[in-house]
Amino acid sequence: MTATAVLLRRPVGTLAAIVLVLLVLVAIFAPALSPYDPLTQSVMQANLAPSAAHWFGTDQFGRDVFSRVLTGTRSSLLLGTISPAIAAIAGCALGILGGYFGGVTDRVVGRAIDLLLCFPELLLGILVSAALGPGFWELVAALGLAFLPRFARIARASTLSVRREPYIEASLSVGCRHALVIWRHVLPNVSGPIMVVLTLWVATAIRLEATLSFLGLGTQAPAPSWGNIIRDGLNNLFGSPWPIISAGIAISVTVLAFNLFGDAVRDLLDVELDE
Amino acid sequence: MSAAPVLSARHIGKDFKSERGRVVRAVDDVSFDIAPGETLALVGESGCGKSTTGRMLLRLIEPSTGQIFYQDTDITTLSAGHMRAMRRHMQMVFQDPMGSLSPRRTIGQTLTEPFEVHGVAKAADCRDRVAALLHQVGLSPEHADRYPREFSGGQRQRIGIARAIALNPKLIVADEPVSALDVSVQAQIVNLLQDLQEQTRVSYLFIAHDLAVVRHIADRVAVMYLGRIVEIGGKHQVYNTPRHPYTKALLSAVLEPEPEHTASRIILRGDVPSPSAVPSGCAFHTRCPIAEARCRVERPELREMDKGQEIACHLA
Repeated sequence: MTATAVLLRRPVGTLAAIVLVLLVLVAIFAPALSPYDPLTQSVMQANLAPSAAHWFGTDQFGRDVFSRVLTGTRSSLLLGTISPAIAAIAGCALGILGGYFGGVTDRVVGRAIDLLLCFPELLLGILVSAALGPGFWELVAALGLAFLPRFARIARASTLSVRREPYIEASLSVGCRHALVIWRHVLPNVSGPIMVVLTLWVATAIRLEATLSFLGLGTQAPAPSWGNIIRDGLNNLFGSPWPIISAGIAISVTVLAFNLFGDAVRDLLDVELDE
Repeated sequence: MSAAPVLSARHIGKDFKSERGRVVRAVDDVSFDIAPGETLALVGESGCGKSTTGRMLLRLIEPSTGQIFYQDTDITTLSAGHMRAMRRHMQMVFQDPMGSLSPRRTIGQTLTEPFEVHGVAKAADCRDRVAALLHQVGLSPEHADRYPREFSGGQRQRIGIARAIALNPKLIVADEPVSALDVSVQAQIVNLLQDLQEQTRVSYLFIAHDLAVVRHIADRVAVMYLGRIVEIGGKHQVYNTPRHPYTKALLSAVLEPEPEHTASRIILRGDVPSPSAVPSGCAFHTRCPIAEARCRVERPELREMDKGQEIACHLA
């Protein structure tokens, strides 16, 4: 059975994938797609309800909400994918090393993971952002560190079970280096669960980006992100609810799409292994 | 035995530390030689340390004590890099034919690995060499593009053997290579191993608990009990004139093909003691039918009883 056939048998996952592709396209072509400059203010146009001219209405400064949400897709998606990706790479490296070599390496990695896991992601994100100062890349670092232990733990657990497979010993007995064994035999077995977790944490990262931007620690005004659109909108809730509604829907759809896509990826990998 | 041994184990032992810091001596003071082209069978009950011994020879498990010589090289002191290079001379066939093949890699990829790692063949030659290997173990070259799940247990073990002989090793440690297979397939695999030995003069350390299979394939037999060798000798010596009470008991448990040839069966009482609490003196004294006071205190060393036949027993 080809991958496409499997995808077609999972319409929800396929739909989620299509939504994600569209979101990526929106993020890339946001400037071209936006009918207005997201930063241009116009007091005369403030707090408008949705209309043909302003699809999602305008905010208290008269900025076009549709253009702002489109542009906000960029920072949300970028941060939502980069920080878990960094966490996945670093976490996998640590988790695989610990699980594969065991002993002291494993104990050091294990304690470090436990320590980081003590902090909820949001708290750790706030702590690191506060220490580094607000800003996009600071937030990437903060969330990357916050997610790292989740990946390390899963990578370690998967590695522990693969490490005991006789084919690992067989490769070593043939004369393979540990590095080759890890690359060729451990990593492919670990990457499946990691991919599933990755898509789920991307959703969380997008949510946290919004939360931290809402708290003023993420993307800085006037550049739009979904989080600070909501933050600005909250101050003007009675002026116009449309910024909050629009950005809220954007976050919900994206998070939902990543979660459904993650489920589909997991099913796909299960099928592959069952066959 | 005239030729210089391919491999000699000298007083090797392995201590495993349990989580509570207790030391379990899985293998204790084991020594033997394997001559070129010879099959030495290592037999004993499960948990007696035979697999650990086999893996120590290849340093897949690091020995705690003792030395292992491959020809004249002490491999216990080799660096990791030198040991990797040494591995082309000494290979392993595993008990679990499915588990020892990566489910994600084709047979061709798995069999190419030895060539690749040791830089023996260029990538272009690998396909031919894999085809030759498959032919050598009774499979066909088209099998190279398939995955392990598409094969039967016996075929998988043939693939495992093909991987082991890929680099023309001098020694193969075969860890219960047929015990996971159907009886009808066992004979085929044993015959394959014997054919390969005739062609290449490879030596086998054949780890098994099935005494009938061992009788078929072995030249010499070593019997282990609780991490120690209690008897070692030529196949006919051990099978026809076993001298250690444990060997006698083991052999008496084998079904005889001729019913009139019913030797009295020796029933051992009790279970094998835990390796974490090996009895003092002779480890076998707790179950031995002829044990005396001396056996509880003094540990018997291996001594030669007959030419080539050694046993560790005070009383035989």
